[in-house]
Amino acid sequence: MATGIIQDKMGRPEGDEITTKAVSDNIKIPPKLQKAYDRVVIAGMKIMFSKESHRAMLQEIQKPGPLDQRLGKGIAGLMLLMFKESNATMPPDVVIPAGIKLMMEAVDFLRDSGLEKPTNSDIAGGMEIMISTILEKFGVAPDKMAQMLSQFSNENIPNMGA
Amino acid sequence: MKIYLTRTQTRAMAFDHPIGDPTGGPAYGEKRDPLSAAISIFTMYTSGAAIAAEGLTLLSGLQFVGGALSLVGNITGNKTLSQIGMVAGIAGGIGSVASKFGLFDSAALDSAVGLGKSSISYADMVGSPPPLDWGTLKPSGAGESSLAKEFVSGGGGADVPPNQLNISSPGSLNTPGGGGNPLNTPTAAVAPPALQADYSFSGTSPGLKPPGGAPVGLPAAQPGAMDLLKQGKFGDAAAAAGSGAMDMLKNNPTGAYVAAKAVGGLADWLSGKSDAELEQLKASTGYANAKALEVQATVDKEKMRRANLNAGYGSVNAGFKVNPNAVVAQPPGLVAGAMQPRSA
Repeated sequence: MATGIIQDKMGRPEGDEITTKAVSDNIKIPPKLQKAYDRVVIAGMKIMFSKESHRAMLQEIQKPGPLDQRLGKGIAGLMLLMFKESNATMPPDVVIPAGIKLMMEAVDFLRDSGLEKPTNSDIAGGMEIMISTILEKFGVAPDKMAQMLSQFSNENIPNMGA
Repeated sequence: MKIYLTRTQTRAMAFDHPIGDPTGGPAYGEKRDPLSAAISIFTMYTSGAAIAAEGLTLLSGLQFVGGALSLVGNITGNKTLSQIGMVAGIAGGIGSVASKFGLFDSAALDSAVGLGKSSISYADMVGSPPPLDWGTLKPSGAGESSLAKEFVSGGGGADVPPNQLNISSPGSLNTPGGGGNPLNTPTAAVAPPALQADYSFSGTSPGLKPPGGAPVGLPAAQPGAMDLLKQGKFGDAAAAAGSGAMDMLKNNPTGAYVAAKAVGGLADWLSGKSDAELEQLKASTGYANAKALEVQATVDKEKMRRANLNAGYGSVNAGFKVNPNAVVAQPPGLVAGAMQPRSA
């Protein structure tokens, strides 16, 4: 059946699945930090997929509990571990972007391997938990962050019904 | 005030209202839902000087992922991510906003992640219980427990042999001049070799020492695996990835597949995304062309419909003409074609 003009013109919602590519394409790293960012991502992937730690990651990811918690806390722990191990040579700016990227790589792994089926909600929840955990460890309390976001949004962004 | 619905809300409303948002939206030529707005704002600001500002902090790192967070937040309806994404793209980013609100104190960094502390544990970092058991992250030549085990045990792990890396012990981690501590002795357990090459993320490693040696800038002087990948030297890149990575390829096909897939994608991405971007641009252009043709066809169709309507459907213009006198030569059918005159 042919669709009407209105239906033809309707913007379709986003795809069903948040993909690594879509997220990666929206991570904009300035050139001066690109190399550091690359190194952090590669180091994180080595830890996640290297022989020494891959089995541990598999065991942990299959433990019971909400997947978003496991993703968020796991990647946050990984990023903080690497930050610590870098002896502060890792630029703080790349911690969260690299964490987002690594989380999507982990999600890809879960999907490809069939171990879990992360939903969009799991991914979003994992990102939120990861960011709040990292910020908290860097001295930004989650409640203050939320307050700041809310206040700034109210002051500067028109009501969008988000 | 007009309230623009999120895409999630629009999708939800579509169940009751097949046309979607009945008061606005794309059907009305409006693309001002939060996702579109956030992406527009993010694109606008991240292409300018705001992202190149000096003195960036951890929070300003959010600025770089503002678009990604907006995307995820709006698709899933996660308000927090949407807010972070939107704020990140506005007026210099979330770092300056946080500074304005006094949320970020650089001094807190040292104390929070243990740079200025003599003791730091995994529990200090991510709380309890720890999300990952790094118990099998075993240094070369070490026993069952390791750096990761030590992190998990929060520094008090009784099962960790005394000669192993003890993050929680004062001064045990890569302390300059700390030749006497376990980590700086050749026989001590250190981090896996494959990981060691990436300790210095900014090219300098003032405190990192090889076992028993003098401080050197380890990775900065040597091209990393990804550098080599970018140069197209795949063999060298594999070697640079370390024996651990090669072993993983042999022993862990699933992990190897995923890692190879990820690294392959990453390589494109690291190389300036030239090929990938070109393909994406081509795809986008093709999509835009197809959409333009679709719109054009719809407009033509609508014009025709109106013309027919105004003419009272006295003579319908179907958009094409048929020649009733046309003679179309048709090939014989299968049976007829197969029938051959019998030879005498």
